[in-house]
Amino acid sequence: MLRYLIRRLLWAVLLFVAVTIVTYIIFYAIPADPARLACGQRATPECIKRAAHYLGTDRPLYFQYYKFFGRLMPFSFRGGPHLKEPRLGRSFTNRQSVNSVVAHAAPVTASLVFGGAVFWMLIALPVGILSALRPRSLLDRIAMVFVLVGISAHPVWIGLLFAYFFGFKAGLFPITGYSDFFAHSGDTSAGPVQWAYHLVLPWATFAILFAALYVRMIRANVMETLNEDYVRTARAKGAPEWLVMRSHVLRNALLPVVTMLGMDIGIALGGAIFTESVYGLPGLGKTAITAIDSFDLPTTQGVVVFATLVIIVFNLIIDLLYAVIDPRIRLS
Amino acid sequence: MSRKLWLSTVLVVIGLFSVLAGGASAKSSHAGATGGTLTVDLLSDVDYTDPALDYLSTGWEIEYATCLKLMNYPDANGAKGAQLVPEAAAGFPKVSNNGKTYDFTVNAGFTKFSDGSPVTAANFKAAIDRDADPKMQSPAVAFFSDIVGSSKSPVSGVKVKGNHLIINLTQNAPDFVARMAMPFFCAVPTNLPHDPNGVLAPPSAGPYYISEHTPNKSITVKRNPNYKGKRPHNLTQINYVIGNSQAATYLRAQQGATDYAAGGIPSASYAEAASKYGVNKAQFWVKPQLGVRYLAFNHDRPEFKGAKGALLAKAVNYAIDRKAILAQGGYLGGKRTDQILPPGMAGFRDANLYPLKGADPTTAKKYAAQSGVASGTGIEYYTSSTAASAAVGQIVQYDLKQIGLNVNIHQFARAVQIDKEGTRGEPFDITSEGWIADYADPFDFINVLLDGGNLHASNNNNVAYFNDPAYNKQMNSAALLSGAPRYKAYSNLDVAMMHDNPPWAATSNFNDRILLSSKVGCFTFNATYSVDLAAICLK
Amino acid sequence: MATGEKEILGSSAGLAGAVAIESGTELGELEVKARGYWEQVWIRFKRDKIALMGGVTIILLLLSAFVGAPLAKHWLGHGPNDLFFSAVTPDTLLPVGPFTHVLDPNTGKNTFFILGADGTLGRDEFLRILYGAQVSFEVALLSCLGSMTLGVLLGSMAGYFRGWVDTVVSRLTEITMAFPQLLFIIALASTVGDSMNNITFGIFGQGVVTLVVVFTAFGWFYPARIIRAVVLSLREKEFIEAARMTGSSDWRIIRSHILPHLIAPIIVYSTLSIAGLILAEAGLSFLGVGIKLPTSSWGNLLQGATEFYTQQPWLMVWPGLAVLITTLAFNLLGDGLRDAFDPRATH
Repeated sequence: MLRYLIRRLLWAVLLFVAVTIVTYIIFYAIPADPARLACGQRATPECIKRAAHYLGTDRPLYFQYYKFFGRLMPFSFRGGPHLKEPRLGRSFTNRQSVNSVVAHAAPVTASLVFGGAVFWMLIALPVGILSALRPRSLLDRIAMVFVLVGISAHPVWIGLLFAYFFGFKAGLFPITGYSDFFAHSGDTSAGPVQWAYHLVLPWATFAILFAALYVRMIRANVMETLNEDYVRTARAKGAPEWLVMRSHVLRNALLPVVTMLGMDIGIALGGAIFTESVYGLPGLGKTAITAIDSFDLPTTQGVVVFATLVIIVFNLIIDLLYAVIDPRIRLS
Repeated sequence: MSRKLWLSTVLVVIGLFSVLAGGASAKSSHAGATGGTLTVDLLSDVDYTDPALDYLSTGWEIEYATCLKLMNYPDANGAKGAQLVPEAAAGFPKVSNNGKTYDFTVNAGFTKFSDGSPVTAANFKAAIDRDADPKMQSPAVAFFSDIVGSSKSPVSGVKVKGNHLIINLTQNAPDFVARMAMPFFCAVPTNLPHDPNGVLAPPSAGPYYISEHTPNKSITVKRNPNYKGKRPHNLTQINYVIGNSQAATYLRAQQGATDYAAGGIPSASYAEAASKYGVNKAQFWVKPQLGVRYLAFNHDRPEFKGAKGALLAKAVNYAIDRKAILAQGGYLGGKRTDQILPPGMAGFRDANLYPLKGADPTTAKKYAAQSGVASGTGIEYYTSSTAASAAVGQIVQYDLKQIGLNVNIHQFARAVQIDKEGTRGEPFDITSEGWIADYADPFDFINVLLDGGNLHASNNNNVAYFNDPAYNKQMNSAALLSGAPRYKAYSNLDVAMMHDNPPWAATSNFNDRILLSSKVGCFTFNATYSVDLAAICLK
Repeated sequence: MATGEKEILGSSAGLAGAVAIESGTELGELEVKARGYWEQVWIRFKRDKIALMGGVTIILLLLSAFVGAPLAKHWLGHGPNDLFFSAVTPDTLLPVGPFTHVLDPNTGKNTFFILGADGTLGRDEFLRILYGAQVSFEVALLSCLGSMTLGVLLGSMAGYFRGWVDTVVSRLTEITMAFPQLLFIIALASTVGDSMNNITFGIFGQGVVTLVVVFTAFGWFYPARIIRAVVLSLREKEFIEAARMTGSSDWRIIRSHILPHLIAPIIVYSTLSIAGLILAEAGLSFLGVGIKLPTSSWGNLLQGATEFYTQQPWLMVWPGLAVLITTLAFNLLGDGLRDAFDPRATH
């Protein structure tokens, strides 16, 4: 087990390095000079030179990456080995620390993604199970239509329509904007109620796509499990139906769903870009788009690094969980 | 339009300055009470709240309320608001040594910094020294490079003697006082750190101060308890909410959830706002800005070179449909123009050179034929990738097709466009650009944008690569003049260039379109800084 | 990775992938029926009315995009990129609504706008949607071709040769999967996109080539994984062993014994991935990093519509509906094809 763990961890680190290198090369090959942009409309050669030096863009690419990677590491050997805070650098546009930019954006995306996940599981679980138990019933047919529309309609479009009808026409929910979960000093507009109120439409928009996919998957898994020999055996033995369902069918059918959920959440945390951009939520996706727009490389890079980290960590956790559950993997 | 133009392309940061528009003075009722909190919606954050780094129109609007300057623009509508008056200075500076030495007497007993420390001449020197510190990389360097020793901090050409601030210049510069009224030079505490990342909430000595700035989220501006000066300070607090979309801001303003749509509203909604609230009545204000949108002709290219090129430049000026181009900015987005200087800039004289109501293909064809350009010649057109820019490109493409030119549109991210067009030798014929005055002086348009003696290999502002020795000479001598002769010289240059050898086709001047909530009682539009936050009061 | 075939992408680009992946193993286990196999598939497919409907819809959509659009342009007498300032209401600067006659300044006659104008340039929304279909199909079909070619090549090599080839391909796959893809695609499109957008080969709109390259770069690994699994299992079958015994070369075995078995999964996956690619194209164009104006695409029409959100809500309905119908058709066809190829799949 320990060897497996070490191997997975090493590979995760390698993966991370590979992604950051590729990202770095591509982002730094852009045709715009950030130093020129930092100096504004009346940029003077003097200002541009100073800015390039400050931003480090006057150094060769590999050196910039070396600096970037050094900042990112949680330890340093300069002045004796010691631990330090990993830093993502500073924004080109407002010189704010990218750590704090990411720290402000991540909770917004997390609210959207985790809330959305609850939302879609609340739809997918009952609908998926019930339509598997009653194939070709009215519910099943309606569910299948929902699935098809859910995976075929564009999330941006769904978002726009929701915002128009529920937000603008009916005035039930705010059209855009985000409200903090924790009210901070002097701001009465924040708090859990406002938070949820602002997120209802984004949650619904974000959830539809996944709800459709999960209904389909849960339905297929449950149907498959119902045909397994052990389920038939249990039934033949005269076990009550609810017991068969609970301890044989659902347990086995839903295990892969839980795994999937882990991965989907990991990936979606990297930026639920469409939902965020339609509803103007200041999450990771929107932060990244704004940064890309203004060629704010450190911020773009910061969001990508963070998102990569989340994906890798979620995958690692799932792999390890699987290894715990299924001993065959450890041995292979 | 300019808010949208520049804010959507965050990086080209500019201060927006505008001097009065001919006669259109804002009416404002002074029916409000003191106190209260104003909520302002901003589409995206200001770049900095540090006066040494802030170079964005929305940021300067805040600095106008918080900054104490040597000279400042009064809190007034129309022409009055565009005349510099002494603020912390006891009067206008004494100019000596052939216009190279400025002596300001600082007399600011009426105020203290928001942290309680007093204001002296040293605080103004501190501001210049901070701007000049290479570590700060302030964009302000472009505006005081003529002070002696400006490349090092402390700047040797700035001295404090008692309550005197004495500044020595390397050469005579009649626009110096106007430059010193920029927020870059407002009083800062002498111990304000030279932090290249900017101070988020620096103490200030104006009527207000920034008490908190959470980037990309909120800015809180509070009344300076130590300010006893004459500038108005009605509101207790101003809360900036950052990040609401324009559509949401529009609704919030109508509901009264926000009091000022500083980030603008969707451009398609301005017509509705105008019909709902009326223009310049109470809630919806349309005010001209000191800026120009133009198509620059690359004079390094064979098509626009020399006398034949000047004819083609004229042809394009006749061929384009300025009305259709302006319409892409939405209702009341600006005013059509055919000149370099915007109306309202001292030195502007309406010359009526080219058709403003629409295209004139007949005359255009005549000039095109004289220029000898072959029918079907390809014209490489650079523009940014926003939808509105693409739309303007299409109109130009259509218009020039009528005179036999094939326009190839190349769209780039705004930042890339600036980089490319600023590089000499880049293969473009026309680029679509805009400029907003840094400070109210024709130098900032004519010399900065068209002086051919100042061309570099890269980072050019003169993207027309216009280099006419005769005009260069006239520009340089105009820069040394002051008062009426200065403006007359620039006025003649503007008209002569556009008439004889047009470096561009200017298309429009920008309007500032301001939507307020019904709660706002008094409103003052300062020609230089746009909305005067200090003078706003609530009903 | 231990989680095997059940990964899903958070982005719409991977949606179809997810759908196909669910059935990946089933496809891999297809038995080979030498003769009459295709007939059986066809018979099963013909019985599936819904899938047939999907197929017919796709044919109609392709026809209207590549034949109907030029015809409509001819009949209406104006093109999708023609500007009509008379199609913009002068005092509000809003585009005119559906079923409006608009004055054509070139001919002096009225011309008909079926769905009204698209924005302040007064272009024909109906024609732009039709021509937008061309762009959508171009991007989706070419990207599908690109990613399938790359994926099948790498996947079959990994599955057949195993060893270091498999290791390299698998590691490449894992690296590609670790990227926050949508984010990265956007960054890529907006950095290298500027220089690539001008490559049009004279027939495509600006941005088509960029999107195809980007989608291919990030789309190959799903098919690669599926194909690798299929080839791995085929490799162990007796008839391959037999072929090897008789001294057939690797290339010959791949070509005449393995490739024919890959056709079914390739067809099914391609159909479903096209649906995902159409969604992805619309999404990126909506965000402004996809197809460049003036070329119309459903994504940039949707983006343009947000300007007139409260005044002309219809403008945002049309392009979204077009996307919905097209992706729905491809999804239905894909599901039907899968069932036809593999009758045991429970759906």
